[in-house]
Amino acid sequence: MKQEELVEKLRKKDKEALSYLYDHYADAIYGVIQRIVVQTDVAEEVLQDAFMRYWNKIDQFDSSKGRLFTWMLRIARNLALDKLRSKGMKQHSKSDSISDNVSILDSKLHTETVTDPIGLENALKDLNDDQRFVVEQLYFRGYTQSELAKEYNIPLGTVKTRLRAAMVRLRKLIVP
Amino acid sequence: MNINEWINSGVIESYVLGELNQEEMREVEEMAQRYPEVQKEIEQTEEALEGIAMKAGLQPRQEVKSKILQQIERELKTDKQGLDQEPSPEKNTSEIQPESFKSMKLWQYWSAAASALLVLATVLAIYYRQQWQVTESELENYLAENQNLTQEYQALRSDYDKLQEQQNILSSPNFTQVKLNGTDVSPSAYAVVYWNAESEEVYLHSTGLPTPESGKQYQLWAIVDGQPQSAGVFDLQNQLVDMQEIQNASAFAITLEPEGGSENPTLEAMYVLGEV
Repeated sequence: MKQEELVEKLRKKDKEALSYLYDHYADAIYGVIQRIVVQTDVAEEVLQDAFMRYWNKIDQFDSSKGRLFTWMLRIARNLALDKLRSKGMKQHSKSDSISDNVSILDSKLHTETVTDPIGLENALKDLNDDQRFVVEQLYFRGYTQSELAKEYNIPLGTVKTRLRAAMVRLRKLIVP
Repeated sequence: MNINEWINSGVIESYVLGELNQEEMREVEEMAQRYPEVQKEIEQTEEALEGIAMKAGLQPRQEVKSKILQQIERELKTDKQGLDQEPSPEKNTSEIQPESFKSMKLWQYWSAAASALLVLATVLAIYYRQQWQVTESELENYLAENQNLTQEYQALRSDYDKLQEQQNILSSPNFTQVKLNGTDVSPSAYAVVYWNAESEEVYLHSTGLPTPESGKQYQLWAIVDGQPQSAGVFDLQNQLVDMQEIQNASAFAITLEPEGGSENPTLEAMYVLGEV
């Protein structure tokens, strides 16, 4: 199903369309949420929350401004971050490496990765330490850029440019 | 700042991740419309993020999907009912309600509930008031009865105490029983004196005496060293009467004297006499 068609059906309150959306994107969205809030039950709660929002707020999605997934990701990420703040939960310790993080998540939470996490790990290995650090913190730990800058005493501009450099690198690997 | 510097500042990543405020987002979108390279950067960043997310996907448990679909089902139903409710994803419990309830407005629930409650409260108030009044009159009866019983008990108690006392006197080896027999004045009259020589206590049993005329009182005398000594006046009683203490009595007698008694016995009116 093309994005336009999917969005159109969602706007018409087509349950099948939401089912399709879930089947295609739930794992990706859940992966993002899960790495931010960590606790399985909380993560599933946020996932449900996110999909209800996709269902109810699809009219607010403007396809001229970008991909559907980006819109979904922003919503899920913000819900997860809100949950993290409201529960007074802290991001887990900075000492974990991304490989530890992925394997810990996989073993501890009994979730099966649909796709190969090793692929991601390898992709991240391609970055230098500084770049990998900002990607991990921002993407997998639920930090915002300004929080990260504050916490680690890195100028916000530096955080942004490192992330930029890392993403350019990753794009080459991920987007053919 | 040239366009490449701006692109490399990391603002596009922030934009894609949703970390910009409304104004900053509008700014990026304007830049995207103006510069095709910015648009392209945004698209590539979005693709890359989506790719990373897909690669890093984790599988939630099966029930999450069914929970979401159930919730959607419920919302579709309530939408048909014409209820415009903000969805609350936190609430996963479904409440099954009869159709008629759903069409009622909230205030109708409340007023109906309040009316029912008022009626119930009124009925209960009347019922309990009646119960209370009945209880109160019953209580008054019981209190009165209790008072009577108490008085009766106290009377019996004092009677019992006296009888106990008399029993002790009658059965005590320290008391001497002195029978007083009727004289010529009243041959059938009799009395009994119980005298304890050691403690000098004197008790009198007087029921065998005829009832005296008004203005007169019986007086008990003891003969001590040949002289009459008053042991006090008394009224007829159906029990032992405690009289004045007497030492060394050789005999006892009872005369009828003017009320309050006399200093010396009126011998013509001696009714009973008995030697120790």
